Amino acid sequence: MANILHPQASVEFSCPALEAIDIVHRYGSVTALDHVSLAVEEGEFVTILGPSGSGKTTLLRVIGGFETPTSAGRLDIAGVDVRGLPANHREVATVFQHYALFPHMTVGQNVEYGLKVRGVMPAGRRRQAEEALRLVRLSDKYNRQVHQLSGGEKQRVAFARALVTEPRILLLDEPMGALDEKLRREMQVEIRALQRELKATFIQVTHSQEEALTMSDRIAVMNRGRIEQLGTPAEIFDRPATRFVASFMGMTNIYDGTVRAVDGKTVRLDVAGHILCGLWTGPNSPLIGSRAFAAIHPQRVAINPLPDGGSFGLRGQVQSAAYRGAHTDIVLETAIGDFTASVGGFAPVGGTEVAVSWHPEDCAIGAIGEAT
Amino acid sequence: MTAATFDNFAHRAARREARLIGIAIWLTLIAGFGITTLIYAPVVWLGVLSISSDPLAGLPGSFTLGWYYGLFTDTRWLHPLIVSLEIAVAVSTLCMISATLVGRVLPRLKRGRAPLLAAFLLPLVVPGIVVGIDVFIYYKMFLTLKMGIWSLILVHFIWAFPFALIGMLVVSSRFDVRLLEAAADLGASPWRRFWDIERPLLTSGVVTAGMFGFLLSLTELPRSIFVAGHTQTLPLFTWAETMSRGSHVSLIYCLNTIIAIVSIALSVLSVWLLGRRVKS
Repeated sequence: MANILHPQASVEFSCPALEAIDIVHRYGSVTALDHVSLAVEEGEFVTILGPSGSGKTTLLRVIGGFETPTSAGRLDIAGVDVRGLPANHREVATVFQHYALFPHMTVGQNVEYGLKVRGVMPAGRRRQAEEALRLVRLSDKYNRQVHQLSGGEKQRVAFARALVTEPRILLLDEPMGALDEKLRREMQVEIRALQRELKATFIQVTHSQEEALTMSDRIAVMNRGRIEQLGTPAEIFDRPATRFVASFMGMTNIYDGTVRAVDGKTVRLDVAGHILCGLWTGPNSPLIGSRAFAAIHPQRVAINPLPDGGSFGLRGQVQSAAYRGAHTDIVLETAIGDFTASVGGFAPVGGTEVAVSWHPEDCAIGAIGEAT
Repeated sequence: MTAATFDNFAHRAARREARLIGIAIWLTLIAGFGITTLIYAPVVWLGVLSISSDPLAGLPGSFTLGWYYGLFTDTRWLHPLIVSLEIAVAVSTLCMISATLVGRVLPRLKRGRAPLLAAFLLPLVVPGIVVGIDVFIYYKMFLTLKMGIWSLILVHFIWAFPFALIGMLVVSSRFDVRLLEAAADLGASPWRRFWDIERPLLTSGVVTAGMFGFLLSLTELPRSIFVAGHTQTLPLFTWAETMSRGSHVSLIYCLNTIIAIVSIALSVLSVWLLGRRVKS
């Protein structure tokens, strides 16, 4: 049997950990998954990101075997077609948001349960469980009762319990959902380090863009049952392909306009008579005259006293300023609408006229309508 | 209003409220003590009379254990007791099985939970005598079931099931079905999920259901009257003896005292078991 520290030691696989093609799932008249496809490589950390009701949890439940999709073109886990297989016959394990630790068992019994049902002898179970607990830094908690644990410890036990079965894919359902802010940040780093150490395949579901950006190799942003964009954290954050992804990534400055000029990736967009210059996010260049959106992160905006406008700049009047600690959010009134800028030091007083500028590579321009 | 007068007003109100709370506490104590007395005084009185030399006089005096010795010489109660125990064990087993089957599923239903629960609990409010007559008319006259031990088990089960179900629901409605998903996720088959996760977490509910079945069957009278046929249960025996006003009435005092003590002990045990599970 493969060692938990070397899950690939006894296995040679070339097929992806997950290959889901054209998954459709409906609850009555509600379409939770609308022709979703997702492939995940061995050893990859993929985050499914989206607001509540976007279908992200349904997708995870379909992969885990808790939900039978209405139709699936393909659903392979490590090369095995798992359509029609219930959860207990799939080589995946889940860390639940609510942990779902068995209250009548000790920490050790919880961690060993997956091995027990696989018929592993008590001595072997114990050794593997202790190793898994050491991995999550809970070596001394083997004999504890579950109700004696703190929230963070419960989460670690849930991890150990899932990892010890050596799943082909570890599914994480909002694993940080029940933890406080500080612990959450610690766990983000720790989980990512664990995943790298084990070279294991993790699929996480979350609604937190911060969690997705810090932990993932790739992010799939879901909205209304569809994956709107699939890409690296930097691609998702800086080059959103749709308006939804842009706004979900915190781009408060989104403006619709008409494409006036295309030069390679650089696009000039006409927004209410003003030309905004940015980089095209889609795979194919847009047609001149087509509708598109421009999106800019408020953190990537510089505001300066007039008259230094900058070549891609705008003129704005300070409406209000909201102090956020590390930065200040300034709302400006500009010719193309309200514009938010997050600035570190200089916070001009209300009514001041300022120049707003940004680098064209910080302005994402993408197609309106169908996701590409 | 100045600050001083407002202060005064608030303090007066606080004193008035404190007095009211004091009165409420006293009323609660009096009611609690009164109700307890109403319930338990007759039981204690029966116990005292059972060790009196002339219990039929209605007043205790010149204490003796003679009637208890009498129970061992005049053993006509022994056969009805055995019959009652047999029935009680059967009813208890039926209650455990059926309350588990129904009680584990009822809280998980998405639709129709309330009407189903109402249907299951309705026999609680149907007078016992009515149930007895109904069962007699339907099963004996219509289905020609022979009256005896089976019909007794049937009516006792009808009577005890709602209580058994409530006992199970106290436990099963707190059961987190997501634990079963977690177990499946870890590779447990449906049977192992039931055996390893549900069974241990529902045990106190099963035990409670069995206790209710046992105790309610053991002491059941109004329904039994109609469906007993020629079978005599302990309650039927004591009832007949009490009505006959014969010389053996005094033995009934002893018998009932023993039954009361055993029943109370079993009830306390089952409530304690249930409470222990609910806490954890």
